[in-house]
Amino acid sequence: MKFGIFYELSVPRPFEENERKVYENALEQVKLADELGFDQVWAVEHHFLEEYSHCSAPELFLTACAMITKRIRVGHGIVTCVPQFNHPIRIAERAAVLDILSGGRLEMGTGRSATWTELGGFQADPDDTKKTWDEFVHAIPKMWTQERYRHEGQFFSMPSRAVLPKPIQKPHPPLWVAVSTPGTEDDAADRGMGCLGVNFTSFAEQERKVKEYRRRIQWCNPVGAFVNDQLNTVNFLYCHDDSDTGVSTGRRMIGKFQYMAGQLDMAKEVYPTRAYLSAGLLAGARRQAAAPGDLKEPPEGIAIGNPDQIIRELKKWEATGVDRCSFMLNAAEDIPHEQVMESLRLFATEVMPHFSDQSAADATRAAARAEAATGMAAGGGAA
Amino acid sequence: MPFFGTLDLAVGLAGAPVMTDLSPKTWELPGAEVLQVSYEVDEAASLAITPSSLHPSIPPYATFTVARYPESPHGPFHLASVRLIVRAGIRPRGLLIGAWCDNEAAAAALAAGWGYKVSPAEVSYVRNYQAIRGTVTIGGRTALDIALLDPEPVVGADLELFDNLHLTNVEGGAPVIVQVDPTYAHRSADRGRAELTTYEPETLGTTGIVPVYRVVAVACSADIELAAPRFVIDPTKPAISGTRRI
Repeated sequence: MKFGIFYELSVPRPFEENERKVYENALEQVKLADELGFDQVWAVEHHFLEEYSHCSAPELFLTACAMITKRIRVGHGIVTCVPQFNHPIRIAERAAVLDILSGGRLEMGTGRSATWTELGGFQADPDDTKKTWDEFVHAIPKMWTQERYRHEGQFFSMPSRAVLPKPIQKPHPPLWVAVSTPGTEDDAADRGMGCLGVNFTSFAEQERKVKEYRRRIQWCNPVGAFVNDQLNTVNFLYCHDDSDTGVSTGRRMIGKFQYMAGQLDMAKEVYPTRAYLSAGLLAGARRQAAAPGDLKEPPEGIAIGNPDQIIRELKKWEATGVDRCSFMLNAAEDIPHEQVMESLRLFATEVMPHFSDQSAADATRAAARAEAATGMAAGGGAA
Repeated sequence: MPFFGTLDLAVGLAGAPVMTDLSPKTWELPGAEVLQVSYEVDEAASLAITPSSLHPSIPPYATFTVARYPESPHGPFHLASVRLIVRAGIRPRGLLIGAWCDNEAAAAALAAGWGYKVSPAEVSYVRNYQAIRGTVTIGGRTALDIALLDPEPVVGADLELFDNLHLTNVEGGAPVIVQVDPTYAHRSADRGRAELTTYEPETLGTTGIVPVYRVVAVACSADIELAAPRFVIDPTKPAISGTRRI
């Protein structure tokens, strides 16, 4: 299993004093993560989400990350595929530039926003976001791979133009979709896209989703020139030699994250629409915050505590067959920056070596392929 | 940390009822018709009417509701309300700013058992194919006129009708914010464009609610159960630590 780090870039008040520090700290952490062997750094796109996320221009942050690192891949994710937020041509252009400047290290995450705070702010219709996302993710890979591209669609049209520059990675960077609403993992599988699982659901539920994703992607109709069949789960990380310190500090960070998330207006809560069948990530975070548990132990599947505890929890994820795990390291700077750096170092030294192979993920892939082959041999193949 | 409200409690409690019965009998309200219009509201004004135990939502918004209850323990009645959506800790709640009722006995019981700050008024609810409209008339003058235009059916489960919070006095005790949790068994539901044709905050006593941006309108027909309140919040402490079961 590979490991990454994941940034919302949450900022405590007063913003004017703290925004710059949050960005500077994050860049130092990314530089260290690169040196320690972390595989990816992801940055979200969010707008107007006071305290919770001040990451409205992730492509700029990730460009800075790319400039100070050598090896770590840069996850542009998710980019909001809603026309009021981003024109698809601009998404393709910016991403290609980031791929060039990072030397071909771009991972391209896509999504559609789950808050009224953002959708209302851009005056986007929540009913349309699934459809706009779908239209965008079909078009963007073609903008990258075709010399010229033209499009007549429901949400955007363009005459034939050369969308420039083209990404370094050929045929194009891997494509992902953020999964916070139940059913989006099926959308990812159907389109041959990687599943960026930003849903903090139960471990058992995640296991079921991994299996279904692996099964379903066998019949995909890929939007890109290749299938990205990877699963990347999102987690929290705080690693400390002392279990009590690790768990209590980690729990405090998670609590703070969930508290900030709970202040936002979720699309489904404000605006009834079938396009948002659940309240998404943040409602899940609210439920988890209210859940009882043993305060001496990490919540199930969460990477907080001492190295042994974290290895134990991450082994459960590995066994489900996920390929990657990306960690949130802090919430509104609740953990002092130096402690975050120490946590990363300890994790890299004591935990990472226990996850050096991909056999569990490969096994779930092989099982799904075998099941698909059996089904097709029996005449049950895809239409 | 998110902002907390800055309401002066003495101001907030002016005109609030005195709850005399913290364990009222459950009301069965079959066949209720509810119209709710949502608007984003001015942040600063809404913060000033939010108790210091609660957070504003991001962004703050208000709901304007008119409901018809054809059956109740006190006979049929209409009830209108204006609520500010806030957070009790991390939970979305509708903080009651004002309510109006056309049935004196029902209004008195709602005040005594659930802490409704309710005033007498003529309240109407009219459903047509092209619109669902609700009004509040005080002293012969229409102070609130809301509508859902071009209704389209949705699934009742898609509607998020939050639990409510009422800042109130309690007989023989300190003021509390009482949580009121009606349950809905939906028969049908609609969604449509929100319209706030008339809104006179001075007449209604809701000057802290300043609509700035239309969100949506919803309506439903439902069997509603209004059970006794289960939780109260100390209005002087953050809800995360100041909430207790009755």
